[in-house]
Amino acid sequence: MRVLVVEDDGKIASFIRKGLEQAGFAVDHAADGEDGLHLALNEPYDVAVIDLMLPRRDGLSLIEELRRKQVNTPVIILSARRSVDDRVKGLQTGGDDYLTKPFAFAELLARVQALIRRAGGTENPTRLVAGDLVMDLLAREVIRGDAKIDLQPREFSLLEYLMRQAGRAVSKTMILEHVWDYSFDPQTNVVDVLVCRLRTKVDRDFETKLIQTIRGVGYVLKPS
Amino acid sequence: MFSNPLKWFRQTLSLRLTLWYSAIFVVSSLVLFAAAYLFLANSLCQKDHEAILGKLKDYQAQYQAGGVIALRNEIKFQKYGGKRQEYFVRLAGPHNRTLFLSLPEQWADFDLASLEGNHPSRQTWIHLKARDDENILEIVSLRLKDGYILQVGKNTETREEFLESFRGIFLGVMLPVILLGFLGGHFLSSRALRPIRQLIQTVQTITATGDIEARMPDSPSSDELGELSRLFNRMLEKIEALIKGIKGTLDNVAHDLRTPLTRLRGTAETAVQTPDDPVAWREALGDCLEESERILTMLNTLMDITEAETGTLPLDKAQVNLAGLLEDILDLYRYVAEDKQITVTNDFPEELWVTADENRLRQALANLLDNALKYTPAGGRVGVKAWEAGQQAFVTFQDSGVGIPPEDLPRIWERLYRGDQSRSLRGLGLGLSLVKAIIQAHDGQVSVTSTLGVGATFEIKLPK
Repeated sequence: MRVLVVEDDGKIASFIRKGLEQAGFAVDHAADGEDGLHLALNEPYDVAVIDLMLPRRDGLSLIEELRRKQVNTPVIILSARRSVDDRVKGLQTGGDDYLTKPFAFAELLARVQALIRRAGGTENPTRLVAGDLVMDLLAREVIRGDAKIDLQPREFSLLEYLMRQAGRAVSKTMILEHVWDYSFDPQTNVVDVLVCRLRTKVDRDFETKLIQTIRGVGYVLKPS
Repeated sequence: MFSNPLKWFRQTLSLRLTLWYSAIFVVSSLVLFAAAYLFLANSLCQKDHEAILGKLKDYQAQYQAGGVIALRNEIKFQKYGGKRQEYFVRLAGPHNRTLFLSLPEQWADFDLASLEGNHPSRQTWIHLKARDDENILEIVSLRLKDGYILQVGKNTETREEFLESFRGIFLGVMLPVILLGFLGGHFLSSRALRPIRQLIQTVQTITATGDIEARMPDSPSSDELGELSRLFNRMLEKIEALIKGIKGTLDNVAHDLRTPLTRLRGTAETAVQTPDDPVAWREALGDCLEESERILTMLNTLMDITEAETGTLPLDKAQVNLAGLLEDILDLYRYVAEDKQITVTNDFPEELWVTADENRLRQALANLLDNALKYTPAGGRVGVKAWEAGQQAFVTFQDSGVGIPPEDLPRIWERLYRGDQSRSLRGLGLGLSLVKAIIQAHDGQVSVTSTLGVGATFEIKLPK
């Protein structure tokens, strides 16, 4: 999988690059809009991560040009602007996702993977498995070991999300978006409370703790 | 301004107005003079004609009394009688042969012989031009009973001289009139344009020095330009208030961010100085991440508050079901309440429509519920009510919490203010400021009543 990163800030570019390479991607980096456009037009990428404020050619016009030339590489926009208007403008121009700076790398990674999955057609499993934890999406049943676990709807959605992202950290914002469909952070501890409840049901009576906290980043479900 | 006169000439509105004014002034004076001139010339001409006709009648009477002889004597008498002769008289035979002719000596030379070729009819005026100058002899003819022709005429010289001097006066007067028109126009236009020049000057001062406190001088007039300068001043006042608000917020934000940044820096610095201890380092890095997350949240919230307060927060207003929003929020906080064994009661109709930005309103309501749950001890109660009355919708969040001390009541809306009880709890001290800013941006009101130890009730009032 090849990812193009167009970002003029060296430090940010290097941490995105390192992170994506660790996650198994081949990464090309362009430091300005013109180079980015050149690469995006001539190389086949699976995803492009494009900053909006770029020297020589800004991100929006880069995306516009790509779409005009029928290059449909999925694009994640990075921007320091967080207003709804800017987000809408970015998505209307042809971006597929929008991430505000500063962001957690885990979130960028999750979004890159989500875009690749979406582009490759969605496989829709009926069963999710993580270690000894099994989720039957049709019967909406969760079994760990031999025990059936009773979950309330929100707990079920959270576990489903964590299991689909198994091994990858998810941030609180991402959980709010997926479980409650909230697009803003109401600055509450509702996510912590829900995760805590889920842990009680899924992990408390077991030796291996599946749900782990990554400080400052979020949570991850790790099948041992 | 005058460095390039041609440019100035074309560009200044003042000069154009002046020129228009003087042009109108001059044209109307011209019309007035022309009318007077025509009237004067006409009446002078008529007077001359009357005099000539009168004379003709005199001679006719003479003729009737004494025939040609008497007439001749009369004319001769007039010609040589020492009296200054004022009329041209000609007596001609039935075949228009001149029998007698008298022309005042001082008059110009006229081609009188040509009169013989004419066969004048009664009441026809003959205009005879002098040979060497512009003088005209006006002659009227009368055919006497026995076929003789009597003609009396008068030189128009006096009349022309009079009219000429009138024209002279007119030209002499016109120059001052033009000058007067120009000066008057200049005076009026510069007076009318004074507010505009002041406006230009004020704007120039502001753009040159950045001094937003510059104002237009007070204008006493109630005309459009006076209104313009008053409106302009009011706009400047509003801009000044906004700029001051933004500056103040910027100062506050800088100040508020310094504290968590100092913590962040401190943690990182301590970790750097700690000798090989991966566990401590990891711990420090986690702290740093959390702290930076907090700073980000704080910055975003402060920006939201400032934008809402200064009226620059874009509100995407639409019809929103307030009851639906409350359901969402109660659902969001259900587990939080369950965990603290707080009983949440709700009392609102299924539909309660208001015009609002859905996301912002949700944020405000969520903050209030969060607040109520946070300050209510385990096992307490929180009641959410909503209703409408008249053109307003009301929402209350009532908790059975610790309550707010009276001295804290007015201060809880301040940015980053945290009462004694709240210091131990999580939070930034920005939640209520944000609620207030959002509700006020919606033209609503938010208020609180509290009894210490019994609880607090927050009430939102929104226009429908």
